[in-house]
Amino acid sequence: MVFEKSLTAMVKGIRAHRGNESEYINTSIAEIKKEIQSTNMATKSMAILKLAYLTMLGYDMTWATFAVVEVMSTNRFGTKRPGYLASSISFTEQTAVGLLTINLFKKDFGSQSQYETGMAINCLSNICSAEISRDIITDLMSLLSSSRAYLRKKTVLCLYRIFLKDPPALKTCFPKLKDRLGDEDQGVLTATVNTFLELARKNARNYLSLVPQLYHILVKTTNNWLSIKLLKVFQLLSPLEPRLPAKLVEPLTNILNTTKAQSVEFEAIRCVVRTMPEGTAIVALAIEKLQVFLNSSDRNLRFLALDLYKEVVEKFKANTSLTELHDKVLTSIEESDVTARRVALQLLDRIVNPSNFQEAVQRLLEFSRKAMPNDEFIGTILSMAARDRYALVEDFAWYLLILGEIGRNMDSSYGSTVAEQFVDICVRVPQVRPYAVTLALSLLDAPAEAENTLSLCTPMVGACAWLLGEYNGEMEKPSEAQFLSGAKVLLTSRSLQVLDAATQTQCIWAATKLYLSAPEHAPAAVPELHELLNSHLPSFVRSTHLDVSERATLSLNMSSFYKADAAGIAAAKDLLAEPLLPVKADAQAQVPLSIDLEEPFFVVEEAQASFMPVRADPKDPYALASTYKDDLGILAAREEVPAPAAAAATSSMYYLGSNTTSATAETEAPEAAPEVKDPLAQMRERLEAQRAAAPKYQVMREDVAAPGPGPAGPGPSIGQAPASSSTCAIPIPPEKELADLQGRLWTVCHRGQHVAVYVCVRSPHLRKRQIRLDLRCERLDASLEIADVALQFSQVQVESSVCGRIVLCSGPLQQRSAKVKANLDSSPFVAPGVFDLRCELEYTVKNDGGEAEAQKVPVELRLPATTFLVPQALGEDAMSDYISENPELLSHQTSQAVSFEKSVSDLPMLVGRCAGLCHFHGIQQASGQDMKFILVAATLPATATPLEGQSAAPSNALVICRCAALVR
Amino acid sequence: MIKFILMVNKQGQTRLAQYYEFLSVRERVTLEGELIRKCLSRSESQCSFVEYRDYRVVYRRYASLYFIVGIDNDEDCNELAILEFIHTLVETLDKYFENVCELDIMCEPPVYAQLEVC
Repeated sequence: MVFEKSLTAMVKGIRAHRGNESEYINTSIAEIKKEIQSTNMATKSMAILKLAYLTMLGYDMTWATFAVVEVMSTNRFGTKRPGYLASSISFTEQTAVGLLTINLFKKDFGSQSQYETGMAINCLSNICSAEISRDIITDLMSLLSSSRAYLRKKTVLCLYRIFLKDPPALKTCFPKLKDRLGDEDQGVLTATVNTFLELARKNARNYLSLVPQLYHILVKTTNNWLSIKLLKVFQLLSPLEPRLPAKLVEPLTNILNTTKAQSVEFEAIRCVVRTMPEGTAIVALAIEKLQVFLNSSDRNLRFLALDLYKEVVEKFKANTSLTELHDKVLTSIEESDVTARRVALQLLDRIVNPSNFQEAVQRLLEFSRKAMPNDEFIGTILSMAARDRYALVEDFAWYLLILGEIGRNMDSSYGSTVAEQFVDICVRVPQVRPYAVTLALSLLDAPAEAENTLSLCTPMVGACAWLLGEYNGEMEKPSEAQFLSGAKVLLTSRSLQVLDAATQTQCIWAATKLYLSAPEHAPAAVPELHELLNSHLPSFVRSTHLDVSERATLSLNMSSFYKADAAGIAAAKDLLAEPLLPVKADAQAQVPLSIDLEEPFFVVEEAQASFMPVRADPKDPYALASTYKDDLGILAAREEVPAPAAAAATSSMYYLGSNTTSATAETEAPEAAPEVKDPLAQMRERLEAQRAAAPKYQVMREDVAAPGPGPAGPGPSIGQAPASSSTCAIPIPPEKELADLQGRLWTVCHRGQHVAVYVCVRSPHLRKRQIRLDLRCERLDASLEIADVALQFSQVQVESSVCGRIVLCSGPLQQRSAKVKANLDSSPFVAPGVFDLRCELEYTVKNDGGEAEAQKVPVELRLPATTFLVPQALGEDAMSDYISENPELLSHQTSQAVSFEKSVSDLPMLVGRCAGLCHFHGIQQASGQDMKFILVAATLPATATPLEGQSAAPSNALVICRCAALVR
Repeated sequence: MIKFILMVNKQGQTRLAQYYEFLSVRERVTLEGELIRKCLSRSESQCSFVEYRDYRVVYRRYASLYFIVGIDNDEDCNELAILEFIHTLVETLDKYFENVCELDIMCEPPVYAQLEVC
């Protein structure tokens, strides 16, 4: 039997079941579940209403979303309404049935009753998502010009929510929304201004064009709420439009003088403070009004005024009358309200000056004694004092005393700051030292409240101990008694043994310093000091803290060495001769440098013009490049991390960030004579040591130019390296895959007035001694007819060509030509360096008269350095032998760090792919978190006469590349 | 921007909650609980603005019912205006129910309809 219960009945029921509400609610939910099945819409609607109420008590209702949509679709307003209510409460963007509501909204927007439409708009603003918005925006646009103000107002507000979800909608709606600023209805006007305010918060610049209209509304309106919103908009716009503040003076003055609403007045003051330049009459007026607020009896006003004063003081530093404010602030600090007090403290921090600093500190201390959580006060004191190197403090002895007082507070979390300032001041202000030493002694010597406790916080004990030791010469004469009591406190106090190790060490050493300087300042106390050290240090020697024990042993040995012999001890005084001075922040810069750190340790090889793979040009999506998008799998890394600006980094062949994969960067030919410098070698060792710790992918390159005996020359191509236990060959992808990847690496080698030429350099064919190039050309000027494109090679021989002439396109060139292969003779390329192959591009252009005109353009075809490398399978041992046999011949080194923000799931795979593309053979040294790779390649065998500009590398030269990868 | 409006009674029971950004039910319950404890602990002499998590909260007490409005902390809002807004809300409710009391707010969904926000 389904029992219907109204919401009121259920609420009463919940109240009646005090103590076991959840039980009652669970039975109610069970009932609701039944009721939702009902075909009677009224019952269903009531069930949804009850459910909506329970949601507010924290019960889940996501299971009922479909029923909610059903209820929304009924025809009666009374039953429909709970549906809309429930959906605005419970639907989220993830709710799947949300999309079902679109048609409902469309239907209800056209409803006769404005309340039904209003309800739908309201609900839409709550559950809208970008998808819903796109479908519904046109309907909303038409509602914007509805004849009913009620609907216009709701729509304007709803639009804001939609813009948040679906920003493009703003563009289409903007003109219509702007028209609403002229609406006659106050409600619509307010809503529109409000919407623009919220939009302006996101990007104010877009709304400068609204200024004239907004200004007129501000001048005319009497609506407080509207005024506040307008003032806020102007606060956002003023910084962007320099003429605006001057325009605003008049209306603002008007508002300040006439308005009765404090909220508007406050907003106007804030507007003045934020937008107006210093020294104008209106600022003075605003500050005057602010003073009134500050003295108001209303706590809320006082709080806001204080808060705003913070801004005033910051902006108009010099011109505010601070004395009066100072008193006011000090009284505000006493407010019981934590929030207000904090603001007051911040304000105080800003307005103190040397003349009132002492008073302020005294007041704060008084409060801090009264209030229990008093860290705020103390924090303020400390930060005020420390500002600009104690600029506010005039009487340092007095301030030290204050610090001492604070330091006695065992609970304060500022203990270490206090101690730091205490020591810092003594170091900086020599005149205060005699006082400080006496103070330190008295602080340490103070009678403890209970046995085994110190009445001082731990960092302060350390600070006082240090002062006693360091400035014992400053004690009042005769100082025997003080020396003795000092040493006694430092060593005998039993509570010391429970302090942390650092403090104990400080105490021991301070006592030792007293002993060492006693002959000079307190000769009579020497025997007793000696006695003290001897009797008390052994207990420290037994300490469980190693550094305490060590320091105690040292001191004990010193004292047993020098005994009580004053002359002997005086000799040891040199230990402490060097005075301590405050260290400047930039002191490091004054240390003379033996090495020039600015100078790079290695000669950084000059960046060559980068050989970038062709990429889709966003401006010209139809360019050829787009069809050859290179997708090597780490492209994502390239999209996310823009390559560092340094061209040197990106153009190097081992730059993993982007174009390593393209395998087309260039490397330096080792043509540089093997000039080996000793210091360089040393620096390299250092660098290597550092590199081990560097948490980055580091790629290190060594170009080795070693004549004479070496490992076997270029022989077997890719083979398995003799693997030792921890090494294994990097998985280099099969040739087919590499060829496939390589086939995508197109690059522009010429882009002229009429024609562009693209080239893709393939792996060299070792047996045939050939390098294959794929070539294509593209017509750039669509208006002219271009035909018979050919490329004339002169430097090298090209297989199956007539005199090195490769025809790219015979006959008229359409959009782009087909791929044309050219096999160059690889034997003249002997050096692994970038090579610009000179050739000539020939084509004919038909001009206006229909005459063909032959064109010749010189083209440089750039072949990347890695083209001329041959993988060299070399085991770890063979490699180290090779390096150790030819250490003096490491002529070139560069290193480079590359980091990936994205995680690279399979690094060996990636390195293998890169190595394969660049014709390296690689082994991996360690696996797991940190990995090392060694890549080796040799140059092409030199057989023919080298090309011009190419000096042959020694026949067995190797290029070794070491990479260390660290996973962060 | 107003982030939420709560009406909570002195016992800490939420009588009405309207959120303008999505929070899960669990978050809502803890937020309401913490907030009302905070408000209850404040005396008459303290000001009506509290900072809570990322919100700046403005509250006002009418008899045993607290009206609590949460605003974005980053933007500066006019706290006084919010106080006035709360009062307007109360007056509206008062007109509608003719002398509004806690029970009315509790039992009546039309209240939501009246939460037409600035």
